[in-house]
Amino acid sequence: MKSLRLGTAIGITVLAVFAGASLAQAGTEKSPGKSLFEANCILCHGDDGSGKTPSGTALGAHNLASPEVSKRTDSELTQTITQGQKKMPSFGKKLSETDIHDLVSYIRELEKKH
Amino acid sequence: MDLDPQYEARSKEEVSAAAGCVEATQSTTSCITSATNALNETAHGHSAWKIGLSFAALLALPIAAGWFSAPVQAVPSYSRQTGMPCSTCHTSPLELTPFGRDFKLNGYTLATNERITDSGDKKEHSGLDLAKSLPLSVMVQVSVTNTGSPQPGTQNGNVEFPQQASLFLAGAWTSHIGSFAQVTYTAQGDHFSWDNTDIRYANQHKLGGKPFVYGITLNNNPTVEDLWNDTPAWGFPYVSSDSAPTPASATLIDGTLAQDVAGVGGYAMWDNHLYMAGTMYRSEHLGAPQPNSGDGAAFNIQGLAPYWRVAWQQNLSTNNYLEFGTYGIHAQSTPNVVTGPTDGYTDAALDFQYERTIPQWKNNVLTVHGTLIHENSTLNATFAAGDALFPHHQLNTARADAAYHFGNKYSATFGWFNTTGTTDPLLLAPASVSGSINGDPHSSGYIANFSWWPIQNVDVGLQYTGYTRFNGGSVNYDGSGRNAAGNNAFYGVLWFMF
Repeated sequence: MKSLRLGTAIGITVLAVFAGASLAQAGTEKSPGKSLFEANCILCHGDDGSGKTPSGTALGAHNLASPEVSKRTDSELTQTITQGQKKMPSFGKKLSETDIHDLVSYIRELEKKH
Repeated sequence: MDLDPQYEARSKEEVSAAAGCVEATQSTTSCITSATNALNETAHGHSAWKIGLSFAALLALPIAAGWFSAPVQAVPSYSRQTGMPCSTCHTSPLELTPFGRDFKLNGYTLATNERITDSGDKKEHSGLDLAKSLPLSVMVQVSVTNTGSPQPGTQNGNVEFPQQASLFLAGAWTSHIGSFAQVTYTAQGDHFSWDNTDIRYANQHKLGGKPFVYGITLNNNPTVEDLWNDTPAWGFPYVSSDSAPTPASATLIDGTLAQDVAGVGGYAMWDNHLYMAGTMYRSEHLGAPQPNSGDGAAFNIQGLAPYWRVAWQQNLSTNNYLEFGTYGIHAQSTPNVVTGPTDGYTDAALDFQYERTIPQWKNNVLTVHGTLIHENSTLNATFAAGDALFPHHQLNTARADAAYHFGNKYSATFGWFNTTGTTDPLLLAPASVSGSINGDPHSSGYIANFSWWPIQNVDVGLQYTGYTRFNGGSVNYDGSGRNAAGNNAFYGVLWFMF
């Protein structure tokens, strides 16, 4: 029974963590571009687009708010997302033109925040 | 006399993988069959170098058939899903890169492949994010094993074609749920059975202004959910012989419960540094009548068996990475029954992983892993049954390995292991090959491994395991005249993924 009690205690702790995370997330309305960014880009580029994540550091992901990226045209960013570049895979098969347009718009928002 | 299940000999199948791709033809299959037959004719007691030469001939056949120069047209499911090569996730299989760890942490869900989607709405309609093709992969291993001395009544130079063949359902099921699920055919069992499985939900948010990735895992092996290669489920050696003798004693968390339990738990990574996980396990005996009667099962968990994991990871500099942590499990078990006196186990372990990328040497990578497991057990049930001399026991396992990766094409690994514990001649009784003359669980030795990936989904592996002590002794350790060095094993493996 001791292990059952210990198990229950850990279980409650885990549930509390998930409940807290869910509550914190509730009510947050996201733009389509932000949702797409979180689903597809955040692993490497991070939520702020800086690329300072373990994966981004390992793969040399660009800082999306950097001047190097900022000076690229929407068409160039669309092409990069669609076809991929260096170690970044192509998303042209998964994302629609509208999705990629929304993503580019969100990347522009990231640039403005920095 | 029955041995306590804790000390029963176990052959561990520590192999699973995530990605690979190869083309195969019927003609080359027949070539392999011929070579296999030739090896099967190897006489009892042949020396290791002759077996090595035979194995080299086996390897030469697919090369001659042009397998390794063939263009890679089929890719395994994670590669198919992400559009990335195997080497993005693996330093060399099965070792995970930082990206590989992140991919797993996030539920195996990163995808760039064609999908059927429906955004739905939050009030009345559910959405959909479904891959257009099933995330399936196949793995085949062909192996040869030659031990220092043949096991009594058996032929040395043992060939298994295949040693095992696996099917994987590995990839994103939805945008937040993914799997690593494996079913494996083994030559010894001659049937498919459920193997390592980790089905997980993952999401991410912010906590205290820092990235917070969290998830739920449903799995069948303590530590299979882990992200590092220093814990038992994914630790070195990543592939090994299933016909060479292995030491009789292993702690509960060191693979003993693998595929014999089912657990659900949660995990979280905060700020890309702090990882925490907890899972509750119950026994689930594959192939046994349901509900569980406990009959014939070495471990029948009473209540729940909690598993815990805490780890910290840190980039020390641009090319230096360190992870250290702790993990463990506690279980109460009734061997062979589901009621009555229990055996209690508490395992607590430390682990570390170090990675160094060496830019001046073509970005070759050095990885070092280590773990120390301490087990306290109170075997009231086993003691009451007269199968232990006393109820309280301890078992300690220390293991470390260092691997040097020449790009992603070659790797050389050297590992060391040492297990010590309480001497109990009833728990570990004399028995040919698998037993001990003195009841001492002390085993120690080393493993040297060389792997070559001519392409990323084909591994040619050569491995040598040497024992300085086996089940408590180096000379006549089993009471039947067998020496520890008799279990030294040369192992060669061809490993295909597609």
